Amino acid sequence: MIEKNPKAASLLPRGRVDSGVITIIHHDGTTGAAMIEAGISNADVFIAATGKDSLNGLAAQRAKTIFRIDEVMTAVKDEGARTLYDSLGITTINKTALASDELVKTLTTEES
Amino acid sequence: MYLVIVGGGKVGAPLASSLINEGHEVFVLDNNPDTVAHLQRELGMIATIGDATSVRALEHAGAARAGAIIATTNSDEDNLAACQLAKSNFDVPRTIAVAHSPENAELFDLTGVDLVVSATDLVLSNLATALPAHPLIRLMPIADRTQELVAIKLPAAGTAVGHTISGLRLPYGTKIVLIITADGHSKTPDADALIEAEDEIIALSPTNSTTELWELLTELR
Repeated sequence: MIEKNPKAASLLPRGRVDSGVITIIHHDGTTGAAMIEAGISNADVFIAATGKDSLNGLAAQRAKTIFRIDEVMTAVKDEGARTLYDSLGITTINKTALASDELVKTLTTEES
Repeated sequence: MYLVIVGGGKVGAPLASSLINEGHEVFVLDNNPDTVAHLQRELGMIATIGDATSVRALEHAGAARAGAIIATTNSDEDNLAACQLAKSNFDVPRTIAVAHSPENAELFDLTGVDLVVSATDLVLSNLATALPAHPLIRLMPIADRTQELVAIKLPAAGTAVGHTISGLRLPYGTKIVLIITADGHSKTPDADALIEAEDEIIALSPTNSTTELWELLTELR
């Protein structure tokens, strides 16, 4: 887990952090230095999940292009960005779309 | 030409103004209302508030008919996203982006930005020019950074002094393009041109041989 903000990192489950299941690196996750510190050369998957599409896009493309990670995933909000990153072979997840799908599903179930 | 500029700050604003003076049609996207208001006061209705990393804002800025997009914000990730979205969604023929960190400049090159302006490289080369004693100045990267134009100042007691150009054992692929003498005159670098103390040599150098060239020209007797 690479997280620049110590406050956000403190929200992670304490037990998992203390027992070493989760390792936190306080760094800017878009940089190669942070990725190397996090051991990206041994990574099977890289996930960019900040709240900013362009930041996720940059980090994801560095993981894919520079560090040659096969499975790269990113959270996106903008549908245009989603199409772009999909076309680059990056798996995209749109939180808003997922939530609205879920809502629609709930509503249709209630109606029937 | 119709040009979309992303970011109307320290780089974007003077750029917009000079492109307008050259007769281009310019539109600036910036997410800061104060910046946009300032641009509108100075240059007219050529700026709007918008996030250039969203397709909708680019569409609103007329990206579909733009000849180029120039991303000049302080945020490298936004500059990359704006260029990539403009290219993938609107087929903008030329994308230009400022990269502040050198590793981002490299990534921009690899991810399809047509022209990458590396802020760090520019600052470093300007600083080097300002220091008269600095013997190596990287003037400009050429051919996807595989070659570069460099200026090297020869020390008075250098071993190269007194040789002709053809007498120097230049690294493979290196071409000397100009010699500027200590008193500021230029000399054509013919094969038999003589190298004198404190000449400044302007050379086209394969990027990976520049250190070798620098060592050759600055080696002391």
